[in-house]
Amino acid sequence: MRSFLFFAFALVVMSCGRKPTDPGIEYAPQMYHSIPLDPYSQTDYNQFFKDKKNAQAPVAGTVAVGKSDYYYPYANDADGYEQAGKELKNPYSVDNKFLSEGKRLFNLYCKHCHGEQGGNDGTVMASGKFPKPGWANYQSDYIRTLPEGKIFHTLTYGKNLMGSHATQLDPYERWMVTAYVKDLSKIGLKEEVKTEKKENSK
Amino acid sequence: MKKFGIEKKYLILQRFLKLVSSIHMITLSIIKKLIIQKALVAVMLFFCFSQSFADVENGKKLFSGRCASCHAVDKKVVGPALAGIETRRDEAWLIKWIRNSSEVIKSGDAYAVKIFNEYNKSVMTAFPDLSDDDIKDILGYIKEEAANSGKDNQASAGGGGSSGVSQPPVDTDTLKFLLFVTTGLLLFAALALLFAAAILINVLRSREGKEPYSWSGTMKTMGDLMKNPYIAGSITFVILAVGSTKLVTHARSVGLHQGYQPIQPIAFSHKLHAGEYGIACNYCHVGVEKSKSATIPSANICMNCHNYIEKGPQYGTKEIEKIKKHYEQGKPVEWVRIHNLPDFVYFNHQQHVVAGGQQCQTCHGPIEEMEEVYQYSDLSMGWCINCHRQTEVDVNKNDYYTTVHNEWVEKKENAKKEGKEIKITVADLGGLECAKCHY
Repeated sequence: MRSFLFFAFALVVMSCGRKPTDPGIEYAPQMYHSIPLDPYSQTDYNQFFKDKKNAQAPVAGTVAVGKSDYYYPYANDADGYEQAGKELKNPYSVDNKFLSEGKRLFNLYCKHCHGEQGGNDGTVMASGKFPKPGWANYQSDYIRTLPEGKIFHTLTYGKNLMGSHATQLDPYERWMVTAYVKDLSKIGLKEEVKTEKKENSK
Repeated sequence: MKKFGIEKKYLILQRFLKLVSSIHMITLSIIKKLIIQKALVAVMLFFCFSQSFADVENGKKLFSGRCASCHAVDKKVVGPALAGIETRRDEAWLIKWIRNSSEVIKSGDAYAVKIFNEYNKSVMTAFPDLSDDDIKDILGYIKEEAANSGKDNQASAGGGGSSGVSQPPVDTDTLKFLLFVTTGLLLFAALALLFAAAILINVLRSREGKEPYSWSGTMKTMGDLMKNPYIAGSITFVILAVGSTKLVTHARSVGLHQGYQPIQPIAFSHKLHAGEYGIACNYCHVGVEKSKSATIPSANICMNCHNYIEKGPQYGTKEIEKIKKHYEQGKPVEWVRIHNLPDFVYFNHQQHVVAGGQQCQTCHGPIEEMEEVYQYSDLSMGWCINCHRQTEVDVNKNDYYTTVHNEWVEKKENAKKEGKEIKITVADLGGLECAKCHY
């Protein structure tokens, strides 16, 4: 009987693994969790701010040093959209590096909806869970003739069902994406122009 | 066992068989009910579809192409919900509006101006290329779709009322419960059968004049077996071996959280978002290329898609409603932190992803396959060091430490002249210096 008990006890000891919801034993937890209040290191509520958050939003109406290109004068409405289309121009020069970085960002932030070439065939839209926009693809006349200011405005505030991407892309990055979108919209055009030229030369 | 005579034992057996058959009948009737409900729903769906007209298909196509980016039938999206639109406005007005809404507004139509102001003066795209028939098709589709969604609701409510079950589509929870109950019943049945078999065997043995088996007798034989030194020795050896390895691994895991998978406040699935939908990690973890922390997305990033998608495949509206609430109240979600490097170690995501060119999966494992995220790597110092020793640095594509890189390229070429091949690893660039991470 005693050997039986020993056997049962050993089985219980052997089977007790850590549950996945249990972080395990920490030796000296004061060294593991930061005592100063860092973002994401909050083990308790922040007692210094009313909303109990460590990471605070910038004070309304202020611009941090070096972030002046965050200043955006156009309002988030139909008038602002039109105005941005008329007045807003890309302040950076577009070269290959600018475009290739734009492409990289496009693939990270736009591709899953708009597709690799802007055909609205990204994984999310192709699944049918999220409706496609009214225009067929970036190569349609609507996007081809769309001024870059309007594209930038749309990235900043969103339009229709597309949300704002201003928290994900800073203004410089937004201009890179805008330039790449414009570049994508010329895909078919370039070939057409090329073939026209060829036909002319013949 | 000695208390019961053979007659009594047969009586017990008979009662048991009755019980089994009644359980069988109950299960059968439940299955029948389920099948009948499914059939009812199927018949209703069939009726819904059989009422469709040919042009509704065209309307559906046009709707999903032109309208769906701002409108839905049963909910307000960018523009108003369209169910019942044919009762709110007459067809001629709708055709005029859809073809060019801003003209209708300019003409001073009171209803048009009202709706324009109500929706923040956002202009509805003009569709001059749609014919009258096209627009009628779209309106037909909207009417059909609105009626269908209404019918579905009624069907589910009606079906529930008649059979006494509240929700006909069986959700996973009840299925799990049913599975649990069935497994329990089966186990019980198996045990009962064993018991019956034991009784029968003993009945047979007593008829043949042998001594029936008893519980204490069985225990005694087992005890005798354990007294055998070979058997006892080998069992002790196995227990000691497994126990000591367990002890060592437990001791080693102090302070390491490998496999930690806490329950999060919102049941967010990385498998669905990153895996199935192929959304890049950076889309939500914006800071990974810009800061020490990869950052947890703020609720507004979730709302980029969930302003429209209100129903998930697993939890329906339950989990998505939570994120909406957080967004509307401006309160951050209190996610439970999984990966926590000790405070005395410096780690920077930007450095590893941008300069080092590492993939997220190198450390975080197959995130795109994880329903719930767990800590994949143990994040121990040995693990860090090992990676720094093995990872080769692509000096040509990387101008992070130009001078050091050039030195190493030179060393590499010199070694080549002597016929040796050397790898330039992170360790060679100072990746093992104590103060690199501990300061």
